[in-house]
Amino acid sequence: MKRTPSMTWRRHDDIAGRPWHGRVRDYDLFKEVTIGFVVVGAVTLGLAAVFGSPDEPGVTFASWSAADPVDFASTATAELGGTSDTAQYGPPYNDTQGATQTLGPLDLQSLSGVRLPVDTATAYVIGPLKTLPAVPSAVARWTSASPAQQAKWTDAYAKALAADKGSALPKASRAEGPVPALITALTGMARSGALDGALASQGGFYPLNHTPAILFLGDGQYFQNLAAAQHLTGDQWGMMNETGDTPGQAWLWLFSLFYQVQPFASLAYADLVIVLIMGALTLLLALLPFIPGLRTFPRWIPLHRVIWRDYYRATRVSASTGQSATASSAASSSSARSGTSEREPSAPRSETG
Amino acid sequence: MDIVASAPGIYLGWGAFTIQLGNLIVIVVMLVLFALALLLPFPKARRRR
Amino acid sequence: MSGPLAPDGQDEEVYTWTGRVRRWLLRRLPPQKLLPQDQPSYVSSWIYAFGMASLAAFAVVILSGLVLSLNGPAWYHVSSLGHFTNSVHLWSVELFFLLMVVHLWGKYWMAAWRGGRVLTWITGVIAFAVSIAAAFTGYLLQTNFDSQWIAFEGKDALNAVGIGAWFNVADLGQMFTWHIVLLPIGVGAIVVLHVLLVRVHGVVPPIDATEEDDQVVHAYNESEGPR
Repeated sequence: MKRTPSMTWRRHDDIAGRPWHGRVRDYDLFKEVTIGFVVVGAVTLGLAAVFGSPDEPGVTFASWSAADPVDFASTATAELGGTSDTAQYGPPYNDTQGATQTLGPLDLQSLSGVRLPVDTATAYVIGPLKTLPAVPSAVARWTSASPAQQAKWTDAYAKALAADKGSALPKASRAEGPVPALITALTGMARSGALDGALASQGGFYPLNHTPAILFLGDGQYFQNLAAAQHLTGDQWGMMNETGDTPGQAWLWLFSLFYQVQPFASLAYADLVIVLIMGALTLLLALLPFIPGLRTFPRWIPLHRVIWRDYYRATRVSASTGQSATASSAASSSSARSGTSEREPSAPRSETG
Repeated sequence: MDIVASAPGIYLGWGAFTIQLGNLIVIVVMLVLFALALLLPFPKARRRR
Repeated sequence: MSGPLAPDGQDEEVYTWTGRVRRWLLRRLPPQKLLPQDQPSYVSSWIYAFGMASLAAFAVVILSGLVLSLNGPAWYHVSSLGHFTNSVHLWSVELFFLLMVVHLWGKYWMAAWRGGRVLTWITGVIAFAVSIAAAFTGYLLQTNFDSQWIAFEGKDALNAVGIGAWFNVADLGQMFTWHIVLLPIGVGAIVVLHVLLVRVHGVVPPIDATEEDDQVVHAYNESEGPR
């Protein structure tokens, strides 16, 4: 009786576990490599020539402050007041209590501590203003005030900006202290390109670390709106998408899917949970040969009977006619003499290597 | 200087599910290639000499 | 320098670490297995082409990436040849993933892990995962709006699991090292291991194949014809 082989990964003493001693055909490895490279290379060159690739210019503080001065000012005020997303992020940028993504007792975000420190008020406002040839007097007024007073000032100005529906900055009022002057000066720096330069050169002459600039940009609504217009935000399947019409990272479909569905999408610790889930699923995929059910599925939907149809057909024919099927499968018309070249099905051989 | 963003790509949507046309084409091509690879006959071994 | 040699050279005496490793390697993967001239007759479906095609796409990715990196990250913004090279790099990556996933689908439906081939499957999945990481770092090097956005979004996933401080997506220098050195070497090494494992174990026979099957019983080279 024919025992149906299982889909186990284990090496048994069966056909799958032993080196193949059956029928073969010529195979030219190097020729196949060459043909593969030429064909794939040609297809790639064709696709590149026809479809090109997107290259949306990056956002600068100059372009941002020109396109949406109120948003720039609001963001800068939030950075100054320590109320922006970056200021409240927690590790690795700062020490905000309770800001990390946690899952019960699991708090991986705190692992590194504050290893990429960003003091938003200094990095984004006071620091750049201090590089000006004529540092505004508002800077000294700000730095000599108490934190409570500073908070009152930034709070008042933030409210004024939120109420500002136009594109000009609101008139300064006493309750806002030196903040309007600081923000106006910063806006001037941004418009001239000096802020881009100041932020980049915070790390010295050779700026390669753009952490402060990226965080500052992202705190603004302007940047977010540009991304949303290109369908790049998390709740737009954005992880998969690319600007324009070019395909993006379609292989991130499952990762992206979790950000669209509840309960994951609205969790405060969504990133932690989803990354852990994706890690687990990837591990599952790697260990699939060990998982009964998942590894047996190909038997239930037998696509393999299509892939190896010639093999199964030859075996069926041979079994039903009780004689060699080589006559029907040989390419030549010369009659195959059955029996002369057959190898006796032998006792299981020990595998080599 | 204004950043003039180019037009966003073509997006198809059904409910909460939206997909960029480019990505959809890639996925469809994959499925088609898989089906063709299974169904298209493979050349028989050619005789040497 | 020559040690005692048996007439057929196979059972050469080994008395060094080097010799032992060489013997182990040659037993597992003799030259005839590493560079064969034939393959089992059941390897006769177009689905088998996708592994090789993925490798070919990977080669185009590396070559186009080499040209891009040698010219520096700003080149492709200002040069039309640079822009074309960037397009080649992008499309070869799309093809690489497209072909690799179809290859994965085929291997799954063939249950290609059977017969002790589980490491081949595992290295394949690892290659896939590391490739995704490599592609991610590549997108971060575009020095345009897309890379700004991806850095801003990507930081959250990495920070949430505590590695963002050491894998700083906004640090172009760090990402360059990952993308053009560490991850290509990683993908390459895993892929080489994966391919060698296929050579060692051979292509998996059909599901439900037995010793009584016609292509086992009547063994010959189809390119020579039945004897």
